[in-house]
Amino acid sequence: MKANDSDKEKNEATFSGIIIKKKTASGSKSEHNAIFLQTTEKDYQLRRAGANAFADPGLQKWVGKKVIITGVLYGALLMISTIKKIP
Amino acid sequence: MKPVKLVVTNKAKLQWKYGKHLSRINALLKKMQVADKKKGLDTIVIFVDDAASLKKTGVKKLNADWEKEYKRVVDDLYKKYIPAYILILGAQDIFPFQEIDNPAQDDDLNVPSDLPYACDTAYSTSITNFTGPTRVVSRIPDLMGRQKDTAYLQKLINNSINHKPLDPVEYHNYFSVTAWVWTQSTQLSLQSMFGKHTGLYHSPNGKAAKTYKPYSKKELTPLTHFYNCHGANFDTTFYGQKGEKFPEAMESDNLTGNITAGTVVAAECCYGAQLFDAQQMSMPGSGIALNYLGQNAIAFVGSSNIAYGPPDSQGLADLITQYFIKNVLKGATTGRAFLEARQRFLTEVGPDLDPIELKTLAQFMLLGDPSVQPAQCEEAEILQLSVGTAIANSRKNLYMKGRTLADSIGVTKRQRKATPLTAKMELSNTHSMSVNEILSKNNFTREDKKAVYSVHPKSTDIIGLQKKFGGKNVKFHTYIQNATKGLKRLRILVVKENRAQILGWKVYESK
Repeated sequence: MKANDSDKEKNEATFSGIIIKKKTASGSKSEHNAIFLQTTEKDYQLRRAGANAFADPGLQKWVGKKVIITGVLYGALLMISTIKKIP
Repeated sequence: MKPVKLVVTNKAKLQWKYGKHLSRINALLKKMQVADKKKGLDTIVIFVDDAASLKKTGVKKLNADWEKEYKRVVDDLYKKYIPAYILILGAQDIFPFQEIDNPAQDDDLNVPSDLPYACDTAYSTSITNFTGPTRVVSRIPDLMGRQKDTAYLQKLINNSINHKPLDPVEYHNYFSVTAWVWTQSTQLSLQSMFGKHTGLYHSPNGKAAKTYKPYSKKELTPLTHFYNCHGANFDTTFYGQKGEKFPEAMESDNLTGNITAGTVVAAECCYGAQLFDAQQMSMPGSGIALNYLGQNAIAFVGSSNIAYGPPDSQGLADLITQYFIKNVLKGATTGRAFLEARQRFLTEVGPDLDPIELKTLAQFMLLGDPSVQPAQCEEAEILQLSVGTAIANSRKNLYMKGRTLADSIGVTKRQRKATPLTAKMELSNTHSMSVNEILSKNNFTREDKKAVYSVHPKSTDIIGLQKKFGGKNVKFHTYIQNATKGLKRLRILVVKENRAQILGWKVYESK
C-alpha cells in the first residue's frame, strides 16, 4: 500500500516564520540560492511538489513575508501543503 | 569451487513491505539462483534477521535493528564465504545504509553509504576507517514504503537475470547532459571515457525554451548515460545552469518507456542516487535513479547527497563516475567496475585525502546487480573456460589492493582550531608564491578560512625516505567564500601544506 492522503495529513505540521532567501550547499554541485522559512528554532528549506527545486517563482514572491506554513518535514526540507500570509 | 554471490536482505521488513506477496520475492530469488548457477555462480540468499536462514552459516542473526548489527552480520558472512559479489536486496527501509559522519563542512548531517559494507574494517561512523575497500558490493533497491505488489523488484531481478553481455561498441554510444557552466569538465570526462565529446547536450542549450523539452526515445537510445548536472534533495529532476538560470535538464518522467534494456548510468549530480518515496511527497513518478532501473537500466552509479567537482577540470565526482564507466567498457561486471573505480580514485587522489575527497568516496554507490556484465570483454572466451579461477584471481588482486590502500591512506582529522597558514609555495630557486597570492589568484581572502585538517599516517613507524616525503605533516586548509559577497556560485579552496611548505591547491567550484 502506498501512503495515502490521510497518512500525509497525519504527518503534517504547522510552522510560522519569515520567508528568506539564502545560499545552500555552498561549494557543491547543488549550490544555489534557496528559499527558507526562518523560524525561531531553525531554518527549513521550502519546496512545492513538482516545482523547480532551484528556481521556483511561486515561492520567490513570498520572500520577506511573515507566513504560516502547513507541510510535511523530510529532514530539514519542508514540503509545503498550504501557505498563508500573516497580516 | 564456484564463486559465491551473497544476497543479503531482511525478511521481516520484506514481509512488512510486501505482505502476502513475500512468497513471490522468494520465488524470484530462487529463479536468480538457478540463472546464476548457469553462469557459474553459487548464489546464497541470507535473511539477516532470520535464525533459520543463518543456521548453516554459524553467523548470529541481527540482535537489534541498527546499522552496527547489519555491518556485523555482513562482515561475518563475508568471512564465512569470501563472496565474489555481495548484493544488498532492497532500499534503505529494508537494509539500511551505513550513516557516515560528514567529513565536509556542508549542509549534510551525515553521508548515507554502502562503502562500509565493502570494507573489512569493523563498524564505525568515521570515513577514515573505510579507505581500503576490498569487496564487490551493490544494492538492488526496491520502491520505498509499503507496496501493493512486487512488480518493480521483479522487473529489476528479471533484468539482471536476462542481461547478456553485449558488444562493447554498443556501450561506446553515449547520451550525456551537462549543465552549461560545466561544459569543459564534462567534455574532459567524455574524452577520457569515449575518446570524443561530440553530441553532448547542454542545459540550457542556448535556445529560449521556457519549459522542459523532453528528449526523444531515439536520443535516449544509447546504452551509456552520463550526467554532470545539478540535483536536489528529494527531487525527480536534474538541472542545468547558466548564470542565474537553472532549467530542468532531465525529468524522471521523460525516461518512462524510452530507455534501452541494459543501459548503464553514471550521474555526478547531488542526490543523483537518492532513494526516496516521491509519491508520498506528492511528486509525480519516482526519483531518477529508481526510474532508470525501473525502465530497464542495468546499473546506476550516483551520489546519496551533496556532491562536488571542479567546473573546468577533473576531480571528485568526475573521477569516480568516469572510472566506473571505463571499467564497464573494458568488460568488467558492474560490481567489479565500481570497486576498481573506488580503488583507483583512492590511488589517484591519495595518500592524503582532503575532506571533500573523503566525502566523495563515501557518497557514491552502485545500484543494480553487481554480477551483471554489461559488455563483453576481449578475453570472454578464456573466461568462459575458467570463470571461477578468473574471478578468484581478480578478487584476490582487488583484496590485496584494498588492504594496501587501507594501510597507506592517511587519517584526515579536523583540527579544533583553524591555525593560520604562513607557508609559501616554492616555484623555483628564486621565486615563491605566498598564501595571499594564492588567495588573490583564486578570488579568496583570509576571511574565507573555514577549517584546517591534519592528515596522520596510519603507520607510526615512518622511517627514512618516507619521513622525507613528509607523511607526518600534511595539512589541508579550507576556504569557503563568504556568502554575503553576492556571488551566485561559491567555491571551496583547499590548500595543501606539507612540512611548512605549500604543495598546491584545488578549487571545488559550486556545481
